Formats: sequence, structure tokens, C-alpha cells
Amino acid sequence: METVLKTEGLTKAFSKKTVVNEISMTIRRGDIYGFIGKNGAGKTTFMRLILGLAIPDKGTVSLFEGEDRRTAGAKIGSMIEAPALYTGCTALENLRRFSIISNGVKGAGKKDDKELTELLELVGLQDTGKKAAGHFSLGMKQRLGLAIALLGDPEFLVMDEPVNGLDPAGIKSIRDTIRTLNQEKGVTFLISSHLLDELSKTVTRYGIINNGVLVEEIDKQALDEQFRRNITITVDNPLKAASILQGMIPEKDLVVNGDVLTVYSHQYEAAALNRTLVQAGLQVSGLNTHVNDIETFFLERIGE
Amino acid sequence: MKNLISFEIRKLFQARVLYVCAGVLVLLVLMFAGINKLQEVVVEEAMSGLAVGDETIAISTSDDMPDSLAALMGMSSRHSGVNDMLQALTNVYIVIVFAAFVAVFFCGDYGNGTIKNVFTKGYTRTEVFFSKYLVCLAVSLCYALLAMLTGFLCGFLMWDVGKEWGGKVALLVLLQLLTVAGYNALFCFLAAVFKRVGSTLAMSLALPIALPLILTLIDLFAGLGSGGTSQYWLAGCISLVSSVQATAADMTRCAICSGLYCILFTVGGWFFHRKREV
Repeated sequence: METVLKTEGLTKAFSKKTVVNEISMTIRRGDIYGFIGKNGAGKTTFMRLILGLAIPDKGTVSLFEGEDRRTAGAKIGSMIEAPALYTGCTALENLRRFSIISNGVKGAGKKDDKELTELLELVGLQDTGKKAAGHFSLGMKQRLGLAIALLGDPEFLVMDEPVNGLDPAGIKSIRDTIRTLNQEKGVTFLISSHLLDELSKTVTRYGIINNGVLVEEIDKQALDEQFRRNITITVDNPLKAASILQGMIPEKDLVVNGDVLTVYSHQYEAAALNRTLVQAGLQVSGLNTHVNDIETFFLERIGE
Repeated sequence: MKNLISFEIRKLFQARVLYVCAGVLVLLVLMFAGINKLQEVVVEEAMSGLAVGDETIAISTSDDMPDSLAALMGMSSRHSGVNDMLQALTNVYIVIVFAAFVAVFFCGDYGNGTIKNVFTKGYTRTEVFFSKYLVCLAVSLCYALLAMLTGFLCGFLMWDVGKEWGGKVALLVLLQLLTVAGYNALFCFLAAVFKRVGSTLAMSLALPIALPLILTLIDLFAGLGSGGTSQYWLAGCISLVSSVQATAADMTRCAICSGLYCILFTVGGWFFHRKREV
């Protein structure tokens, strides 16, 4: 399957602090990639690197399997940090201006007012009339930012907290728009968000970032199958127990927290794990099966 | 880059700063012309009926008045449409109007974040720099012509057209436009370095005022007089070609210095801009 984005060893530091640390990521065409991490983890900086807004210290970015930056850029739409608008202009004028530089994949070029008005209808801003964008609410500005990102019929949309400031109806509207564009037009998305529940309703793949490092990538389907159950084992010597269990299960499936070990994805091997630990001379004082919600899963991955 | 220039031009004609600066420019030229006329009237009245011994001397500021007497009366030269046209750009306040426009227009996209939408589309830093540079240059040259036209009209209406016409005057106008291009390159360079409207505006306002003063002081202390370092700065270059009495040497010096400043600041601005992060 064609890759839309591929980074290798992407690194960026500010004032000796490494904000993005050797991230190698692949996003395939058709993915809705959810990027999750706590504040300051490096999500926005990573997005700025792939969009060419910042210059990496190390590593490479390849868009659409190595296309030159200008050709690839014509296929990309973005909404990074706060929506970038001309606050003294109306919504329609903002679109008129940016459509001049959004050639689009099919050489769509500058769109006429009818097409731009349809775009405003898509994001729910058809009734703003002569109101300047500077007088919009936060939610309206987000919608206009999305409309600008959709100029030029992009194939890849990079969105940093796209539902920030939106009411529930607005959030649903954005979610539906993302799904429609992905399913009907095959648009690929890279979305960062703190709203895990909201993200889980939309994405097909997750990337978890912590302190600039891409901790884990996982398909949503695999996550749904994997994390629903886990085993917690209470032992007298957790470090010894962890070293023994690492011979049986992958390191990423084992988390040590005090004297409790948590094992993911191996809930059906509880008996075998228990027998192994007891035969190694360890005292197992507790063994329980749990169902975790997605929040706990991610919080453990990002070190919370 | 054609799309980028179209984008900048669309923003330009809807930018309030374009019209405000044009209005301020015209008002300044009118104001200075009015002050000059008023000054002349006051001096004429003050010096009329001056008596030397048994003779009464009548003073007139007509075309026949020698430059030496005009200088004695505090006038740089006699006024006329042509002379006022050539002197329109010598005032530092006129240059400040150019600086204000470039600072606001060039840095505006960086200040409000809309430049992100441009770079995301794959346009290079070089393309973005030169599209803004060329639009600012076009506006600066138009402003310069507007100031000259206003100066000519004021001089023509208040005094007369002037005697000098033809190739030399056209050449002096072209040299002044070259100096304006040098100023544009300087202000674009400052915009590329400082990135924000406020900082760029502050430096662009301070530099045209402070630097000529510093150079004049250096000339004074070094005993270089009027032929010193200040003649090689942009303000000095424009002064050299602001009179029909300009010599070939003056015009050559203006052309070389202005051209060099234009190239130097353009390359410098491009250099600082090409690694800019947004």
C-alpha cells in the first residue's frame, strides 16, 4: 500500500532539549492516524517538521513516496495550533485568498465563489456573511481553519487538535466530515488530540508519543482486541519476576508498578505465568484479571 | 511563484496600510511645500525695505535670485516644480513612510500565523521572500513617484514649473528610484531579520534617522566635512541627486552606492529568511 508519510530518525532540539527524538513513523494511504501524548510530548513539533514549518536537526521526511516538496505540498492541508486566518476579512475572503496558492492535485487552482461557498456550507459557516473572522467564536475559527485546510482537495490532512473549542454538535460534525472524506475520497489523516474517547471513534491507527519518543504504534483493531483484559500479579520480588516473564512475553506487554506486575494481551496464559513464577521460587500473593479502559492503557504508555 | 505574487497582490489592494501610507506621504509633501512657501513669504516681508546706506534694497525670491542669497535666506535652492520634485524624497519623514509600509506588509503574515498556510503548500522560503520583496519594491517605487508628482504639482502651483527639463532630470529621477530600491531592500532585510512588525518597524524608523546623524558626527570629528562617509549612505545618495546642479561624479557615486546597497541588503534578507522557522 502506498505510504503518504514516512519519517526516519526525525529529531529536533530547542535550547539543548530534544523535543522530537528519532521518530520513525509510517502513515499509509487511507489511514486515520491518531497521535496521542501529553502536553509538551512533541506532537505539534513533529507535525511542524513534516509540514516544513520547522527544520529538523536530523532525519528525513518523505511525502507520497519521495515526491518533491512542492508537488507533495499541493496535496496537503493542515491546521496547526491556532487557526491561521486573516482576522480583518470575512470567511469567504479568507478562502478566496488561500485558494490562489492551493493548486490542488488536479490543478484545481483558484476556485470560484460558488465552490468556496459550498466549502463553507460543509463546515457550517454559510451564514457568516460580512462578519470579519476576528469576531468569530473559537469554534467558528476552527471551522474556518478546517475549510482552509480543505482547499485544493488535499489527499493528506494534518490536524492538530481539530475539535478544540467546539461544542458537541460541532465535534460530531468534524468527526463525520473526517469519516466522509476518508471513506468516500480516500483522504489520509494525521490527527493529534487529547480527547481519547473522541479519537477512538475516528482513528484507524494510534501513535503514542512521550518526551519526544514514539513509544508505540498500534492499529485500532489490535488495540481493541488486546487491551480489554489484562492480568495483575502481586509478587514478593517484582524485579526478579519481570526478568523471568520477559523470557515468555514481549517487553511492551509487561509493566511493573511497585510490587505489582501488569501483563497485557496474555490473559489466557494466567495459569502458565503463575506456574512459572512459583517454580522460580517467587511468592505470588495475588493474581487478578481486569478490563481497562483506553485511558488507562494510554496513561500507562505515556508514563502517567 | 506566480501564484504567490497574485496572492500578495490580492492582499495588497485590500490592505489599509497601503492607502494610509499613501495618504500620509501626500500630506507630508503638501505640508513641507506649504511650510516652504510660508517661510519664503515671511522672509520676503522681513527683508523688504532693507536699507544699506542711502540705498533701499528690494528683495525678491524670483528665479533670478542667486543660490547664495537663497542660502542666506535659509532656502536650499529656489523653488519650482522640477526642483521640488527632485527634493521630495530627501526628507527623512518620507523614508519613514516606506519603512512603515514594508514592516507592516512584509511581517503581517508572520505575526498572524497565516504564513503557515503558505509554507505547508510547499512554497520555498526563497519564493516567499522574493514575492513579498517584489511587491514591496513595486509599492515603494509607486510611493516615490507619487511623492515626486505631488512635489512637482506643489512647486508648479506655488512657484513655477522650473527651467531645467530633459534627459538630466529624467536621469536624476531614475537614480532617486534606484536609491528607493536600496531603501526597500534595507527594510525587507530588517523584516527578514526581526520577523515581527513591532521590532522591524522600530529598527526601520530608527535606522534612517540615527545612521545619517552618526555618520555626520564621524565626518565632523574626522574633519571630512561634506565629502565624508555620510555621502555614501542612502540618505546621502539621494541628496546628491536632488538638484539639477548634480555633477556626473555625484550621479555616478549615487548609482554605485545605491546599487551596491540594493544587492547587499537583498542577498542579506534572502540569507536570513531561508532558514526561518514559523
